[in-house]
Amino acid sequence: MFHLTNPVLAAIAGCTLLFVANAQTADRKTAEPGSGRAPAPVHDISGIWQPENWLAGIGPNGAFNMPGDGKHEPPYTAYGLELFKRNKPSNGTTEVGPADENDPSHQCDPQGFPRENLFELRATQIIQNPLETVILYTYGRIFRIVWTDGRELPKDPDPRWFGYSVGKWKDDYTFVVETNGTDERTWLDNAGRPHSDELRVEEVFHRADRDRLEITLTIDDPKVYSKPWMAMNKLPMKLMPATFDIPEMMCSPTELAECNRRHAAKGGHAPARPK
Amino acid sequence: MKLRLRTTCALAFSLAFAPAVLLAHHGSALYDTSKRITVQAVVTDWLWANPHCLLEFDVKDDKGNSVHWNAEVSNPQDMTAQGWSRKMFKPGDQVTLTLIPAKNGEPIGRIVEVVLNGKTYAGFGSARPPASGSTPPENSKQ
Repeated sequence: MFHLTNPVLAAIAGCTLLFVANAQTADRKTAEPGSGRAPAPVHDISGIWQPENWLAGIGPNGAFNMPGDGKHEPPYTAYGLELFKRNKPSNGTTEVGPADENDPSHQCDPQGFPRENLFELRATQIIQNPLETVILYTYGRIFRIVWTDGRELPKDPDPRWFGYSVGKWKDDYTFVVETNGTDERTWLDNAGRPHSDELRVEEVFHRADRDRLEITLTIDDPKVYSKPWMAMNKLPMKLMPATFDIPEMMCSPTELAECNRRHAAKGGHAPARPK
Repeated sequence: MKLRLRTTCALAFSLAFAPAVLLAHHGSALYDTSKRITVQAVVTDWLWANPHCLLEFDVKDDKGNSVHWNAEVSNPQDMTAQGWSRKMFKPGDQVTLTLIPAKNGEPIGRIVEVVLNGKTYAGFGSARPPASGSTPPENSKQ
């Protein structure tokens, strides 16, 4: 009769662990030693993600890395500056009172892209299949499709609120998305930064480990800005449980009108009407 | 007096260091953010809505006349995270409100804090992770 001795068992267990470990490192990123973090899966950013600092995704005064605080201002062209002056935001260095602002999103127009990333970025679900990556946002319950079937961006697209997006894997853990064709009526951020029909946005989704996704977003619009500028730099998002029930957050025209009716009568928010 | 001073200092501290993000949808141009007022009020209505929830209430002025006010907080999602709810106020509730008043002197404001039935609820300017959504309803668990 063959008996497994303790040393034999230990050897088998050790080899098994070594095999499993090797198999995992073949398709998973090795976590930093001592980090206590689980490795990231390869070519996978799916899951429900929320800013690590819950409120870090709100962006009340403009793009996270270019807030309208008097210390940061993107590199406007002359035309860009002219467009910026036409916008009358209720936040940032050029903020005006409720009766004078003309923020299109305050009429419940879609925020559009990239403002959906730069204002009210909350719990965000990402779903992947071989042809597309779908991004589901909390604010407005908006979704975006990022095509991964190899197609190019359209050459002369009809503008859309959220434009056209294509994505490619730069490496095992970095997914890069390019977007064009966004609607010029939308603002880039809460501080009223404008864009033209030549806007091109690059989003980089880097999965640092299993539980952390970093998002970087760069604005490139040669009509409006003299050089590309970074609006978001590695904003950390944490992986939420798969059972996380994403709250609802909508811009409802009737609720907005009711808020305005009650508050505007006393000098509060502007009535819900086009400016 | 000491209590009031402590409260004022605590409020000033919390407002100075709290993230401004709950002032998200609308800027502060309407309000005199350097001021705080505290009033005893009687609730007349509570609107649980986007982009901002609104509390309607009556306050007695110095001459004993009733003045109707309303004041806003953030959206339902953020206020739920702060422990507020759609049914927390009913007409007739007596509350103590600390408000950021409007620059133009009209009886409107932003709620910094409300005391209801002996419990204090933080309004604008407080940060707490959202409780809502983190625990799915039992029937949605997979």
